[in-house]
Amino acid sequence: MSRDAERLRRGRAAWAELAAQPFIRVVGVSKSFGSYAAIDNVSLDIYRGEFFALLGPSGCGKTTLLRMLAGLEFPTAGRIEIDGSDMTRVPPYERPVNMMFQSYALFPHMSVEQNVAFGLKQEGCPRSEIARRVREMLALVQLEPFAKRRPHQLSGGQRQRVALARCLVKRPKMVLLDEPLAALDKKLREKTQFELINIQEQVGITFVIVTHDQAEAMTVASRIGVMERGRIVQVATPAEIYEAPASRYVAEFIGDVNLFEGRLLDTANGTARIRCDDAACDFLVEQTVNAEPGATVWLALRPEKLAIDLASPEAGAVNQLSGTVLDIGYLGSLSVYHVQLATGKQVTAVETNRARLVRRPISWNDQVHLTASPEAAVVLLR
Amino acid sequence: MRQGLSAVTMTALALGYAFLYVPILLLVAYSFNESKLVTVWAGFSLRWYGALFENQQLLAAAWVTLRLAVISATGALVLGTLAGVVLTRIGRFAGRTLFSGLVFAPLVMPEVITGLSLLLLFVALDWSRGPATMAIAHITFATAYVAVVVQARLATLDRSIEEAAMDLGARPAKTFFVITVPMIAPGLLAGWLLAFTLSLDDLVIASFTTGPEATTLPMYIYSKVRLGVTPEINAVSSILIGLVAIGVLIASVALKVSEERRQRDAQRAAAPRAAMVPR
Repeated sequence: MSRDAERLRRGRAAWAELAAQPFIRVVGVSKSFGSYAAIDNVSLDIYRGEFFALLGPSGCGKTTLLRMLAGLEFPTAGRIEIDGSDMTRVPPYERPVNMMFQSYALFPHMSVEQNVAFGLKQEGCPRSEIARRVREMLALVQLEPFAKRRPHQLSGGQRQRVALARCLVKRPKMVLLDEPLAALDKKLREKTQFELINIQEQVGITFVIVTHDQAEAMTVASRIGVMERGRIVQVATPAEIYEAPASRYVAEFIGDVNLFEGRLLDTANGTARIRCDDAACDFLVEQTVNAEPGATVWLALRPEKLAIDLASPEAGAVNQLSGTVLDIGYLGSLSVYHVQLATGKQVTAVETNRARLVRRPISWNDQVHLTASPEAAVVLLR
Repeated sequence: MRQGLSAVTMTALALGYAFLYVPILLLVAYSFNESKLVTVWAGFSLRWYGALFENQQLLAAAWVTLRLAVISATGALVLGTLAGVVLTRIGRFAGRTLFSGLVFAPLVMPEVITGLSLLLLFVALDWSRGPATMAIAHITFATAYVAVVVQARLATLDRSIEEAAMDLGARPAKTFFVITVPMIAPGLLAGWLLAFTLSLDDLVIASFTTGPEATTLPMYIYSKVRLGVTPEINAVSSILIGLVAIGVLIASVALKVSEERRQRDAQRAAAPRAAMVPR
């Protein structure tokens, strides 16, 4: 796996350069509401021009962290720096940061134009400049014909774009997006994700998005911070998060995964051997594992990295499992096979349906063989 | 529930309404009576309405009442709005329960007690009693009504709209006047009208807190009635009823409009898909 190529996916990988200065620094930030700790000692660096996603299930504290970046909440402990200046206790109206709210929070008594102009008016911008910048911004989000309408006369997608225009027009140092696409339907959401990426690349502003939708985070973000109960558990590119999750929590939260508990037998020359009792198999994994032999480890295997076949693999093949097909899910583009191993453990394998399927070659109750190459699996210590 | 109204319920309804409104209708009807005797109908006339405008004492009382109602409704609007904002926007603070209890206490306090306690206060402070003390007293009890109305409206308002305004650079005070006030305007109007009508028809508290030179219309009517009801009193009462009815009507329409707007916004927020189809 070529991680460096993946890192350069978006062409600017500031976080990969040691000399790069973080644009936004969150240092040891905690936030409690009464006795409940919503954010627990979080540190995070975000670089200029990034599209950073905070991903986690509801209640993990991602929105609280975003609101602290906006200045709508103040941390109980820790420090927040934006572009080199301490912003920990600076109120929202003095921060070079704008937020797009989940409800869009458009001003119902103002037209689209007035909504977008509001931020510039607060800056004391001259009228002619306000008019010009509002026009430019409405052109960017393709809302020029709707300038005079009130928010309640717009569709959900249009209102979402007004909200985006309203926070971009001030040219802030950072734009915060709180579940910006949650209210849109699936088709429109997917289209808007790419629009968001394009707009972000055009304006070159640092974006931080909060979402509970892993596909959305993977699509839009240059890096993702995965959160669990008030902590950040991994910060990495989408590919790294998926292919090299830091823990079982991350592996299970992002996509589907087969997890096997096992014991590390030995590790030599970058190859680890793991004995998994629930798979009745020794796995060979190309990975340097920082653990003593005998330690309990977990093996994560993505379903699409398991090859499924009716024929027995040739002798000497490594990482092979066999079992009976319990269930087949035909999803059109993919087929999902649920296979029960002799040990009783269920494993999921996914195959792309490259050819049109006339008759399924693999059927229910078939005896099948699953194989994974040594690069396919990941060993997790947590 | 689709039975409609049976004869029994219709009768009950008619009796109920009759009990509430027949006396008022009689009063209004007799205000158009030609006769000087209140109980004898002698034909239609606007004579007593004309007589009202020659009665200097009554006109003076009406002027005092109107000024008092405007001043106290405005004062109560400011204080009640502040109380509503504090109760919905400041979050938890020490003494919040006590504060909300004290704000709303005048709603259930017997008017006699409110009036008497204020009288004792003014006497203790050695303030001469007149329009000013009456205004203070009316503001005191009307504030609670305004606070209820404003608080209800603020509680249903999406907080993130105000947060968005601050995020875009508006300071809290500006956010309040430019964003919050326009959105709760129907509630503010309803609160003001409520306070206005409460002040307009108050007799008890005004009697306790006024001085010799300031007489309100309800006080004037009350003192006249003790000498016997005259058609003139019927006429002035009819005008008063009309004013209060209009005030209450506007207030309830304003509240209804604001509630409908809120529900429409809520529906759109809940079902944006439906709103999105005609693109």
